Amino acid sequence: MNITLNAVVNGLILGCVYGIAGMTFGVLYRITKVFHISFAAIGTLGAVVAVAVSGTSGSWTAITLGIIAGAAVAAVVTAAAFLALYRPLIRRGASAGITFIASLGAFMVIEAVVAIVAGPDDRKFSVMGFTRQSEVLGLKLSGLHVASLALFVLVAAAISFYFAKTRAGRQTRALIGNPEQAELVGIRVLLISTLMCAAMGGISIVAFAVNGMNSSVTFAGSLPLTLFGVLAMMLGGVDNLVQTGIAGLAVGAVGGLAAAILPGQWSSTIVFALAMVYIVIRPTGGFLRVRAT
Amino acid sequence: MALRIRARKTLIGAALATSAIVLTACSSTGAEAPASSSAASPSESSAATTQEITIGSTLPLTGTGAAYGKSMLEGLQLGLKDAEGLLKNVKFNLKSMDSQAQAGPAVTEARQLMGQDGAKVVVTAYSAPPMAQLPIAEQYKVPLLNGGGNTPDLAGNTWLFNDAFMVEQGGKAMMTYAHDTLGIKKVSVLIDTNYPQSTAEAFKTIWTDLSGEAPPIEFIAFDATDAGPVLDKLLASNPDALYVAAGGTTLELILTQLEQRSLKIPFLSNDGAVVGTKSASTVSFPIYYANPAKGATQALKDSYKAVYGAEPDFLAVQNYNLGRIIGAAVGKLIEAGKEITGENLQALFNDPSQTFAVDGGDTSFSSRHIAAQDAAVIKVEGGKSTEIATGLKTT
Repeated sequence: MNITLNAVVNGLILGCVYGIAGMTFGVLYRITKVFHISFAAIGTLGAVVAVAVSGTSGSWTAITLGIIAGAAVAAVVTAAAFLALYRPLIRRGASAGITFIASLGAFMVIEAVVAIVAGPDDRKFSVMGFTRQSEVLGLKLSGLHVASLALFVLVAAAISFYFAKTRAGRQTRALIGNPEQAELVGIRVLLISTLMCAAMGGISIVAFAVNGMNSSVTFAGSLPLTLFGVLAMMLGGVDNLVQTGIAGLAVGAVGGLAAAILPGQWSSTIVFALAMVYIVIRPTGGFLRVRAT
Repeated sequence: MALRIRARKTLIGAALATSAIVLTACSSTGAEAPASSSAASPSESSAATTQEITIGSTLPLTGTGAAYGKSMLEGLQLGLKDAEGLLKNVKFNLKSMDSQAQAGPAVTEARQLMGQDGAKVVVTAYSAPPMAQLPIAEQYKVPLLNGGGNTPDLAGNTWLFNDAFMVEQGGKAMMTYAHDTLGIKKVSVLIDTNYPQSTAEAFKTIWTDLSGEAPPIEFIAFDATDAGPVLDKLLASNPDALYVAAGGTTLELILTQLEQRSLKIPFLSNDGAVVGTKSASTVSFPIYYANPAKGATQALKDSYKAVYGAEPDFLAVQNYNLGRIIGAAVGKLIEAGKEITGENLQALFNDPSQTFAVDGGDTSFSSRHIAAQDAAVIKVEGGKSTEIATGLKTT
């Protein structure tokens, strides 16, 4: 087994999770215009619900139901955050700084409430057989690796298809561009925005659940995952979903490579340092000449 | 008008931030309730002469160390309650705060406990919080008692006393046992960044003295989301065993990802493996870890179980003993007719000849401010823990 190559592949798989987090965070950011940091706490909430509902049987029916339940809760809470917190603040002229503080407040409240109600302990999905690695073509891979890649492709394709090929997607693009004008031409801005927030909040649970299966569901783990997702969004360009996904893969691969060839504790530092350099060079992010989605 | 709008915006932001802080604070102060409710003792009946003594605690009740903080706080609460029962007319008022195992909150909390709340002692844990609290302890002349942090730099500080199994103690006992009894010739070491660089030096010295060969050592960020590449790197050198010094969620992550890699060699650790015992049923490889030899007596196990519904882990026992040490020291000062001050308590703790009654015997702090203990080695396999060696030297 080649340690460096394996670390890069392992990182790419982790990058799928960052990519999903980045794409869903990116859509939420474009719709709400809020740096929605409570994304992390809602992710924890959804993953905690998913573990609780899936139980310890290890059956895929139970795990799928658990993830659907977690996604449903996250969808409702994300939509509620938009309707009850961000929208009223923005309508009353709150600045980006104020809405960020509001989101940070929501993050702390949600995490505290989840910790009080459900307890602060780490949680595990009963999926050990699925995550156990086997050597394939000199690489150590597991079912979770394959599933992560498949889910990444599925989520990226679904979101891209929605924006590019559906009427609702075109309306969403219109309201992202100019909500007032979209309203004037008859687009139901509030309804579409709320539904999109709910959808992205729900889909993001895929990332938190897969991350939880790879390690465990922890309160400390949701913020780093969110930050890697945000990094992917910034590197790929806020308005480009496909490149955000690709940037997520790159972030994971660079992190894996750094951990393999440098002392392990430097991995995240190297990733963020390189990303900052890239953003200084190219503040709007993006790296391919493709049409923004 | 613009000014009013700006003021309103600021107000909204401040209110939201404040409400979040208040809610977070509620989650930490909520831990106080059992202490005050369980604080009733016969000596309190003569309320007129009861002396109230404030004890502070900054334990990790949320975040990466939350699993440990709960045990620590429960042990401390019970220890103080039992200590009250042995003293006449003394009531310990425990003010518990949540350090989140981080230096920043721990410093703010220590300042409040020592400066405003009049705490005579502050019980702390982890490594970064006590080290960051040291200047404040010195400023207010209030001793810190550590019942959880175990890094080498915690020993030998004037205002800090450790009833914790220090990492080099556990490392010495575990590595010696692994080398001499398990026949391990080659070990790889993984340390999380909650431990300072000096931990690597300590392990390197211990293993090199034993085997004549320096072990490969890697650090992993304590908030890492993936341990895979570091584990693969360490396992690639084909060690006979993997020694891990990590705690909380990082240890959970490492154990989970080692299981994913079907680890075939023994997993060695020191007391950070408390989580290992909890998750041992989910791993198929054997875990060996060093623990303080002196566990809980049956009486403590029974009383702890009666209050909290489970037997105490060793962190609960250590913090129970801290409560008893505080009680014993307060009793000594009362007996000597001295005022209960942080300075007088520190003088008692600082004297190695002073012994303090704890669960199952007496203890004292060494010249390096460690309540010295021999070690035991525990083997965990198939979800079952067995003590396989005791009385191992830790220095």
